[in-house]
Amino acid sequence: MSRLDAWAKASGEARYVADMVLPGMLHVALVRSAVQHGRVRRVDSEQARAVEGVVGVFTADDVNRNTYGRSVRDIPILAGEKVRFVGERVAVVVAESRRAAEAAAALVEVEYDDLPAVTSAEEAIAQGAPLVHDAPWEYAGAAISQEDGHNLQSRVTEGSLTEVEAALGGAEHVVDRTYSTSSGHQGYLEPQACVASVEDGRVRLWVTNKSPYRLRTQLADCLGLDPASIEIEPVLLGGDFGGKGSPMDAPLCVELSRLVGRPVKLVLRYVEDLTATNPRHPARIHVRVGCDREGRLTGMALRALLNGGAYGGFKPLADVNLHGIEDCAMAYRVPALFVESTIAYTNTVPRGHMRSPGAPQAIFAVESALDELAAEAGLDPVDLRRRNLPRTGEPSSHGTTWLEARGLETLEAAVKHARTEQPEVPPGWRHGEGVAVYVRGLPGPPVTSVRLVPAPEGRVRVEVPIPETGTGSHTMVRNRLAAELGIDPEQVEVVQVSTEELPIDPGVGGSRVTVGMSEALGRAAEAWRRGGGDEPVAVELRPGDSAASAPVVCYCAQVAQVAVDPVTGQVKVLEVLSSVDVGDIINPAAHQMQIDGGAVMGYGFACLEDLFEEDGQFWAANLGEFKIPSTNDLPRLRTVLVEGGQGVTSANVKPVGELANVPTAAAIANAVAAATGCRIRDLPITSEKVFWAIEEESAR
Amino acid sequence: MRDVGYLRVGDTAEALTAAARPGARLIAGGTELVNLLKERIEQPDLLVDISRLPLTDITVGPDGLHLGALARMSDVAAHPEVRSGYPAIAQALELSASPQLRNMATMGGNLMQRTRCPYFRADHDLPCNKRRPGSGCSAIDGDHRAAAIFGASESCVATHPSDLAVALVALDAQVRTTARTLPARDLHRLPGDQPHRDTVLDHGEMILGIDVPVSPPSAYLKVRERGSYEFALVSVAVAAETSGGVIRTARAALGGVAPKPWPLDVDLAGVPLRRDELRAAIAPAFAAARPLPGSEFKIELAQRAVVRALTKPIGLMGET
Ligand SMILES: Cc1cc2nc3c(=O)[nH]c(=O)nc-3n(C[C@H](O)[C@H](O)[C@H](O)COP(=O)(O)OP(=O)(O)OC[C@H]3O[C@@H](n4cnc5c(N)ncnc54)[C@H](O)[C@@H]3O)c2cc1C
Ligand code: SF4
Repeated sequence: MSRLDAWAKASGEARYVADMVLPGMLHVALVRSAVQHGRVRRVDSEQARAVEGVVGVFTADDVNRNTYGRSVRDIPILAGEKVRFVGERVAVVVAESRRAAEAAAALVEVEYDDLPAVTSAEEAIAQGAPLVHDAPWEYAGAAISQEDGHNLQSRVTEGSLTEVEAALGGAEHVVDRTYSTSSGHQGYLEPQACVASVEDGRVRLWVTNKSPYRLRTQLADCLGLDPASIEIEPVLLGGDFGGKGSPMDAPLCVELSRLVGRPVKLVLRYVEDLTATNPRHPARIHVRVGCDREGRLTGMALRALLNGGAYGGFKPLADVNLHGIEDCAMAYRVPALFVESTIAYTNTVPRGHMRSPGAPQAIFAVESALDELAAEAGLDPVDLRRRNLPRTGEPSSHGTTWLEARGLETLEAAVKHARTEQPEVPPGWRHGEGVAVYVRGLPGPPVTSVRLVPAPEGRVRVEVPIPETGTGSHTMVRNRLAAELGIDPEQVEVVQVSTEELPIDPGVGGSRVTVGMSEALGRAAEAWRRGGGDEPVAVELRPGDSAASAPVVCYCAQVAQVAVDPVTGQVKVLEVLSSVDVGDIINPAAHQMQIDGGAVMGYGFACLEDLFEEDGQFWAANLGEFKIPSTNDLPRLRTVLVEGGQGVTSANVKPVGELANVPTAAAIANAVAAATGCRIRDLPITSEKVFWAIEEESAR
Repeated sequence: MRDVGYLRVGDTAEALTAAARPGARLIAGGTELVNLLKERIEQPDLLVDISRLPLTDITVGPDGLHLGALARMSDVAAHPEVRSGYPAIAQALELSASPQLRNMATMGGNLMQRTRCPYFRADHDLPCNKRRPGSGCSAIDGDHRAAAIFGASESCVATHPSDLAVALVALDAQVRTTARTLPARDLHRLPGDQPHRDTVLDHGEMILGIDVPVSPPSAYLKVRERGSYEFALVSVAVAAETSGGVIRTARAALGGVAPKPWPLDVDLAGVPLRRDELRAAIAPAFAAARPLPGSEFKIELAQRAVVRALTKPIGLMGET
């Protein structure tokens, strides 16, 4: 079954925000901070104003001084007295053409008084470190208080350290290791863009944002507007991976349109996307984990320290943290567990969400540590995992008893299939196999809304609140509704409508779309059938409307096969096999794409991706330098579906979007360790890290 | 990008006149120059488009291979006689850039491409003597993982990124320009205190073609971090005649280690194709290596790559 968006994308007919043109529209270019931390002494825009076509040059003095954010509201529309990272918006030029705007922006001179800066999380939380924000606890939505410590965005703890200490004290084997991961970027292809039009107090926006209803609230909160006066228009998104959830430059564009009285358009240059939007948090994760003589885990303490950058407002959760870290040990039975996740303010680009936020980092650490523990205990790594995966009926390490726990089956299927076909290893290279496991819970109860409208020729038009981000979600909606109504999918039209048309939706993210939409479409179809299909039907799922979601989880186990050239340290990932715990599958092709795409992203995180952060700046400022995998690099991808799982909603589905990208890095690191005897604890696993590790090992 | 004039020329004489103008720059496939313009690394006043000149020939004769300066990377790499007789060239090209780029990029443009040093290519102006003479070198105290281990100077430690150039040096090619014919190994220069000059060519001098003498079996090995769209950490081109597992004649050049393709000047005649003997034979060439702390790994990597290139079945197109 073809994808709804396939033809338009393949033929070039698809229109993105950057393609938008409105009558009288002006263009925006940003002047960004050249220093990590400094007081803005003077902004000289005289030369810029003289450029032909320039309509205005604006600074913080001209725009609303309120700060904004998805949770904590700590982001200024334009930096006022001080700048907090290289790349922060300091001034902005509005002109008749993009060319004039950019030429003028280059002529704006900003003078700074440098302030001492902190560019790593470790530095930031040290006693006496310079403060990124003087009183971060005062921001609306702050998740910390003054007593919590220095330069904190957030600190979350779970479990009792005392209990873990006792458990580890009595353990037969303990490993104590630190792992780290680098800064990465979502790597969507479409740059962030925004077109804003303010006319007679009415705001209309076309923006690369996947949560339009939340964006409306965020804008209203910041600009003091009535949400009803803001309309977010439907758009097609060219990739997201978590990077398109924040308001980004929307508040600024609204202010600019108000100031100049004409529509404005801002399209970032990709270098701005890479260096100045909301990339992934780099992490340092300290794990102590112990087991008894039989290899049963007795306790684990995990402490993660993440660099959150200059602002926390691009993170949507109320605790301004990353739940992937908090859920780091969910896959196993861990009698005593302590988790601490700290996100620090630094003078670097603000960090945001990226596909399964926090989990790739945390699972890399935990699943690597488990292999190290297995080695310590003289156990086979698969065996160690077998002994610690909870069975159905047993509570997980976080206390919940799930409807079913299919970790063991998922792992066994992975190992069995991986070993039936061994990949070919180049002569002289060393082969290694590595395993890693991840489990993910369900998103909260579905909240969304849809409307079914009769269309000509007996067709049904379904109006949805969410944009197509490139995952095929609109195709899923079409197929699901067709199945519910028992009609041909060709009879269903799917359209995203503006925020005027539907009441509520939390946006795309958290693997919630298929689950939420399935529930809403199920109800809508029922009402439609009852009404005979002549009248529009609207369905609205508000918080509290659906019973709390059943405690359903989905496991994913991956086996990586690598070949390592002992001469150069080069790592070839030959195969990644993903074994996935599934319920029913609505669109097999889209489902498979999530698994394959996930494994590819996991591979990139493991072996390639690094923004090369140094002194608070990224050196990999284009897609040539920031290395996401090319087709030539891809390992062979295989999938085993562990079918028959119990999902949710009448469609019996389990989410899959944020699964297969998570365990890959640990599986590869474990495979490299199996091949070489060398453990790489710092991602990405580059040739030279492996090379030096082998050298050191052989020198010993 | 700022305003720049554009002139498409119809013949070499016209090209030469136009290229001689101050502020003029030749443009062929544009895959390199347009990037340099966008980043404002180069700011010419006039682009002289030579892409329509009849310099696209690829001919193989009894005296060797002739490549016009405007022959496309993809056409050369796909040419059956290049693949069979000069595999190091075909492999070097095929392992370069990406298919789309190779369809546009030319031989002359490839040789004249500039370093990928991240500071040189940064989107904002950083100290870089190659980009702005006298401004300093950010790489020496910064990220210099990709830095040269041979031939660098105190003002610049960048490497030359062309794969093709490395193969040409190993194959003892000559470069024909509008002013002279010179060995490929003399085309690029060491930075000394003038790192902004990459080659010995004068302003307005144009490459017309490349002549490669008949070659012994050859091969190109490229070590890189990503399978496509990626420059070499270290690369090696070898052309060698062997008999009974012993080298009779061999010529090798290294890429990714120096401001220019670095000829491996050691005599390998009589050396058996075995790891230890080869290591011993090439070691003297590495005594002169002067790495920075972050690029030290290249010394070992390069030696191992040379051994690998010589011991793999030479002269076959294939996986590297
Ligand atoms: C993403 C990316 C990856 C790449 N990876 C590789 C790689 O792995 N290996 C590799 O070798 N290369 C690589 N390249 C570089 C690529 O090979 C060059 O961009 C290309 O060969 C340049 O050829 P062109 O015809 O497009 O040159 P242009 O961009 O037209 O010109 C480049 C320069 O050469 C000059 N020039 C052009 N023709 C002549 C001539 N006849 N005489 C004198 N001067 C001339 C121009 O004035 C200009 O200064 C990569 C490039 C990109 C963008
Ligand atoms: S190594 Fe050369 S190109 Fe790189 S920063 Fe230094 S001077 Fe510039």
